[in-house]
Amino acid sequence: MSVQNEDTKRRDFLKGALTGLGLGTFATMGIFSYSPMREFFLPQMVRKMKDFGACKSIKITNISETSWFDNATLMGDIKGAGGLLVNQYLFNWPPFGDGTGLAKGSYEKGIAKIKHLLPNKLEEAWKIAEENSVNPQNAGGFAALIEIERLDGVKKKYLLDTGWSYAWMDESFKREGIDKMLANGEIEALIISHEHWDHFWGLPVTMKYAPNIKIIVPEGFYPEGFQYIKDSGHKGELMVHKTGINDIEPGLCAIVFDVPIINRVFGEQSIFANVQGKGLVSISGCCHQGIIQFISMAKKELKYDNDQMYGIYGGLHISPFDDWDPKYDDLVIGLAKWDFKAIGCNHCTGLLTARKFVAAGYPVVQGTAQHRSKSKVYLGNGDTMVFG
Amino acid sequence: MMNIQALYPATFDGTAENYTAFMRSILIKGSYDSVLKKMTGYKGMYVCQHPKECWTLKFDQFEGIFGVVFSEIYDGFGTFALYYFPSPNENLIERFSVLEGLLAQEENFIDKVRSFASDSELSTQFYIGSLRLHVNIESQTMFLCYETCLRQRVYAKEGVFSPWKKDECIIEAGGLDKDLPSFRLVLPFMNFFNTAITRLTCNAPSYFQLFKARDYTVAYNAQGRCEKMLDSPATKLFIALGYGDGVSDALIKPIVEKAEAQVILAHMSLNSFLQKAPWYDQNESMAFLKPSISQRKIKPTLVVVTGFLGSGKTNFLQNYIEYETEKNHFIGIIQNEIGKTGLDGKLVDYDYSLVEIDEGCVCCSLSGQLRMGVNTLMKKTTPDTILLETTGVANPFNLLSELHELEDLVDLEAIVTVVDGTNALFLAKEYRIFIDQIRSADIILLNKTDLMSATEIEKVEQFLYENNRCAKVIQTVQCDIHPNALRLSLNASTAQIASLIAEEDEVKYTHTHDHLSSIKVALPKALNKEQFEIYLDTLPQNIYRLKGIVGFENELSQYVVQYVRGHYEFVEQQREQRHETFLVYIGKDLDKCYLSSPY
Repeated sequence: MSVQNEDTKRRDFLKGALTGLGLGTFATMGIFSYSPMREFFLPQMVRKMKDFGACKSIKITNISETSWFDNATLMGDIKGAGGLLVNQYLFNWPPFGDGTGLAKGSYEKGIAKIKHLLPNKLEEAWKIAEENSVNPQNAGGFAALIEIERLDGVKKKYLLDTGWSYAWMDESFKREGIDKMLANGEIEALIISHEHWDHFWGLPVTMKYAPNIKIIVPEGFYPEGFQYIKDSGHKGELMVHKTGINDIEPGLCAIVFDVPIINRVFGEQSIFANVQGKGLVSISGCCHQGIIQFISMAKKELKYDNDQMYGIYGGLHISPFDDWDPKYDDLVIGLAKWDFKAIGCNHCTGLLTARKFVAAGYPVVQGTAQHRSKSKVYLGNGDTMVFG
Repeated sequence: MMNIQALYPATFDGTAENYTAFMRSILIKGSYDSVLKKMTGYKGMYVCQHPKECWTLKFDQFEGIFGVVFSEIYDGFGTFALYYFPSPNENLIERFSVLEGLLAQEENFIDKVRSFASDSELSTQFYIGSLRLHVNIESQTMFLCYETCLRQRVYAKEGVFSPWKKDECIIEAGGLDKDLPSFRLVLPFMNFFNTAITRLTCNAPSYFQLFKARDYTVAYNAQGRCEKMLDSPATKLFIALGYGDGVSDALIKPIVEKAEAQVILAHMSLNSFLQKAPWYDQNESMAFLKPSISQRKIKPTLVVVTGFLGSGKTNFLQNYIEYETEKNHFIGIIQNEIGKTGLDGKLVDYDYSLVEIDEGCVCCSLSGQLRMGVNTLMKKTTPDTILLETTGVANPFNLLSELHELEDLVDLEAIVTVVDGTNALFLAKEYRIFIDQIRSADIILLNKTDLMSATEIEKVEQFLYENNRCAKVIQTVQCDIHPNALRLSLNASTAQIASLIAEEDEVKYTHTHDHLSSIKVALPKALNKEQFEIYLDTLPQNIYRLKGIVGFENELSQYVVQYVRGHYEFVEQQREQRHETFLVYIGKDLDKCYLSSPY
């Protein structure tokens, strides 16, 4: 029983101890720490503060944030195919359906059915895809137009992502006049945030109007992804952004994160703009590694006006996986310390989260709930937002 | 052929950054695998990026938090340090040194743990072992070597005294300051990590060996000088695994030779040891799990949600779906009310799989309907969790005894009862069913606390406690509670008991680590109430929950017995309700202790 007494004694002592004593007190008690661990060399957090210039303003047009129309159908497909680690090209989702059913597809067999129709006969291609794919009516897509106004007043346009369904994206492009901008060569580049179906598979729609456009993808694209860029009829420059910071133009850069994402995708890039006199704006597709990770990375790496995290646009995940402490697993708490001045969220943010933002007094920009977007709480399809 | 790209598809040159990203990638991919989570008890992780990247993880059956951090490239291995940060109240705390025990009592300890690698105190204490990792892209091979010791021992030569009470001795002179079973703590991480690699690459390890070496223990004196204690030997262990073709022990030789380590079992073949390890067979071998999960598919968990009209059940469901959807988890919902307008697509801005089943009532069985509902859902897909929303009509106690029939389809997790705090005391007077909902709960959500004064909350909590001493009561506003917060509040739940209720005697589940099991004992005749109370008062400590239905001599009604760690209560059932009488014991090591009869 002596052991038990020892334990009880120690337990009582620990419970009754005033904490925060510090190591000095311990020595007077005769406690010393012996540890096999050498003291780590603890790196000081050095903020690199890379100066990437500034711009006057940033305008974002939400071309489409409805990646898919029914979440249960999508999650059902993913679960049915074997879960979150299954390669997205195997799903037999459009446009790569080959008629064999869920989880039995492949890029090669799928593209073979439509390749000859890309990029100009998209209606026909999508029809074939619909006949051979799983739940084709569920496909939507994510795409946004970024308009940067440089310090000298010149305006430039970039396209962030190109959606999923050929039919839906073509309709959305036409609705926002993106088709004409592409055809007139007004758009500098197509930036793909990550290789996921709802951001990238609608590529032929962009190719149809501007096959020579520069495409920028993050490091980590798979062979199928590169092949699809070719098969979609791309004739222009292809650029791969490496992990870390990549300059786009003064006041605009991309940060690539080398993280695994569900359904065998690797790497995601978010876009950052430094708006003169205001601060940093982050524009992202999904933030699969968690918005908080992205923001802290940006804080560490970039220099921006007023040292102020000014605005945010896009889909917000706090973290793609379960935190062991549910207390921290809340975007509302996670974003609080950054003091953003303008938040435009949608896509995978989740409506309840958006509502919580509003309830917590965050500066959430309201939308108009048009074109199949579900709520005014956030920026829906066709809505715009200006930073600066 | 090993496929390392399945773990980390980017360029790998063996740099510190590479190894860090490699580990991060495995940990994140592992968290996307629900089968792996169930197999290994893995409960969640946090990635801390700044100032120094480190990862913290939680495993089932361990109250503390596991830490992993990259430390250095050494001998061609990327080396990671492994940590265990105990919860301030768990028994293991006494096995750590007094210093570590005091650190763990700090108010912000658990917050600091999240970025432990940036805290010099935390990163030098709480160490349990290391993992060396060698990745060779060219030959598509991987080598892992865990190093830990059976027990870390540190002695205080001159004892340790309280700074407040003169002469109060915390550790006697020459006593053990630290006596930590490090190996046992490394196991859950090792189990998880190896299984993750096996499952992600679809490749079983091709090399396995255990080595042991003599380690020394340490004693310190009052000046803090440390010396080796040669009269108290300790054992260091090396657990080595190789993946891929042509892996040999050449890599590990220098390490074990330096430590003068011996192979533990010269004849130990890979197969003999690994047959029981889940990381040996990527075909979801379930040896580590309870026998009921034998099929290849992981069963969804079932959460039963009860609550009176207007209590906030719909809010609860909406929040639950939202939180789980953000995590890419898939929720199915079964409602047994038709025509109710709580959950439709317009209200919940999320779509979900919904199956409605006919209204059950107090007297008829729901389970046939339930089974159909579950089957309908499962035909479409396999949800991670099924929420069963019951009407206010079905008596949860009746439901209890029927849920076990779904055992082959789902894992029962808990009965959650939502209570409208502003109305509770009134409803209690008016509706018996309301009381039954409270009595049957594993978790009670005391909702609408934003509309109540502190005094009211206290009153209602008291009322809830009087009606259910076993359930955890959680205060909520608009039923906003994270699903994981619910899961963390569960210990042995009604759900487990429910599944045993109508089964044969002596059913056992063995949980992974802590030998939690349950035994059902039928009670063919009435008990003597006084004797039974004495019996409950003297139950051994390893039984921490007991639940059942009993009859007492000279009493017409039957009683529901609820017992949790020394507290118990009898709840009188309505006279017309007759059940078979039985008790279910839940506790640790029940197979090792003698359970006396309550008669």
